[in-house]
Amino acid sequence: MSHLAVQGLEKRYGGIAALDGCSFDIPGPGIYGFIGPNGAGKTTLFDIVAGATAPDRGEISLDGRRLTGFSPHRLARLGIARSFQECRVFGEYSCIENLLFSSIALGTRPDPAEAERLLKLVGLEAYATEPAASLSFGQRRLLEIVGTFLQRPRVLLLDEPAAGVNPALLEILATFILRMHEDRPSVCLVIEHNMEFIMGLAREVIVMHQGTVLERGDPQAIQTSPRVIEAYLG
Amino acid sequence: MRRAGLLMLLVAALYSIPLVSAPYVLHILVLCCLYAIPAVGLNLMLGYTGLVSLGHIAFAGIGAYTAAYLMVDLKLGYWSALALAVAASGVAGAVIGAICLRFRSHFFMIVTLAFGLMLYSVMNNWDEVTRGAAGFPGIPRPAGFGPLESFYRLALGGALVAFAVQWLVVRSSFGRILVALRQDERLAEAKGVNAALCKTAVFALGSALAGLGGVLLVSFLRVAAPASFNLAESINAVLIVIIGGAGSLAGPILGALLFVGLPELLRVAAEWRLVVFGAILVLITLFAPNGIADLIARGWNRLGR
Repeated sequence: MSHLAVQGLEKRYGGIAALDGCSFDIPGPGIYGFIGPNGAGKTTLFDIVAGATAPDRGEISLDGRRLTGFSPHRLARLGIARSFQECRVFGEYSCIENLLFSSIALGTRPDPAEAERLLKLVGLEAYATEPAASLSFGQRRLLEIVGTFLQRPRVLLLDEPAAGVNPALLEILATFILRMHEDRPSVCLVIEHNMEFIMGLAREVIVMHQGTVLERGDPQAIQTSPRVIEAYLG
Repeated sequence: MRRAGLLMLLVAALYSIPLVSAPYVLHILVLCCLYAIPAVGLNLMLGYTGLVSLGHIAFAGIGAYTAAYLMVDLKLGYWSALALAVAASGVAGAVIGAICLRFRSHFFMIVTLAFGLMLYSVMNNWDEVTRGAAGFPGIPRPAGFGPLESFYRLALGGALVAFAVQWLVVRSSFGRILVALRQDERLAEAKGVNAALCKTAVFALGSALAGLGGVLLVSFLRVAAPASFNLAESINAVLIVIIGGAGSLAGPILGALLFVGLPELLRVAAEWRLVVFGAILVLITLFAPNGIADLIARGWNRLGR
């Protein structure tokens, strides 16, 4: 069971409300897409759920346990993993070292065989001992996302995984995420602007607009919703 | 195995230097060791974790004055005073480090600089305890290490202890975490690293090593003077680490050898000595931006091919 509840989140930067009473409920494992125009508050929402930013108001809970205001490392220990919009890997560490780092950080037993298996799934096995800085952007993105799955998350936050990734790698990425999700289901929230990518991935899409949830539903219904179309065009 | 053997051989050679060397050279080598010890501590902070402290040597001063007070005023035995002084530096490092680490990058540097100046001014002005600017005289050397030849072995032992601590830390999980923090702190935290705790711990450890160096230095000089722990000395420590090779095991040792040894070799240049020394430092930063350790490693690899 993983039940993520977000209740009345508010966050202001100066006079601008990045989040303005954002609430939603994720009853259990599944891939959920988060879309919305720029400035809708998607990344702020992820930063708050991952503990990188503190909300002005509102609550987050996982299986009834209140998580609001916890630090990122504590949330990581409770099973919340994330990727970053700007893509972050340890450039000096090799791909394998990057993947094994979460077990070092958490003090658990490293599993190099598993790391190599996942690296092979995304076609990066030839770069296993190369420093991550030598990879292309798309490859770094794959590495980053493989790393989040190795944390065995209960809640996984992927912030624009498809941004800047070329079509060939994008297909690998989508297949990988679906396959990993099937093996070990988690509450997987994905921010994405690439509609084709997210529609193929998510079972449900949540549309954000001006700091709140505007609409939520299955991908087909969302694409034809007049309110969503207006938010994007208006 | 071969590397361990080479290291043993090197240590044996260093240990036997007093048999063949003139007192002057030995004196310089003692100073090299005593500069290397705090530099090793700073290397863990600056080189491995990316924390540039501009007040590092002030923590050597805390160790030095604690030891002086315990040995001279409280008549405590040498080794227990040394242990307590190192612990005092470590605790001071943890407390002051926790404050400094609330700041980042250049703000962190400024706050460490400020604490360094504050600690220096305490050493310089708290006459009742530190004897002020005149210095704290009468600091003993431990029994059996009085003469220069034997003190050299103590200083060498101290440097080896510092080096061993550094080696153990760097190859541990804690060391991996430190290097990760240097590369990307936000990512390390998202992976579950308590960054504030780890950085405070390395600040404390680095300060404790500085304290060890401070105690041995004033014990060698037989007097603790504030000038040994001023801002210039803290900057020197940063230079030693960077020129030697920040983030490499041998870096601080090589840096200390160069920093203490080179000005002595340049005595032939008389009043031009510091000018030449400065020019050489510039050349090193130009042509070996990753330090002498890296330069040697690259040369070694080229030879091997």
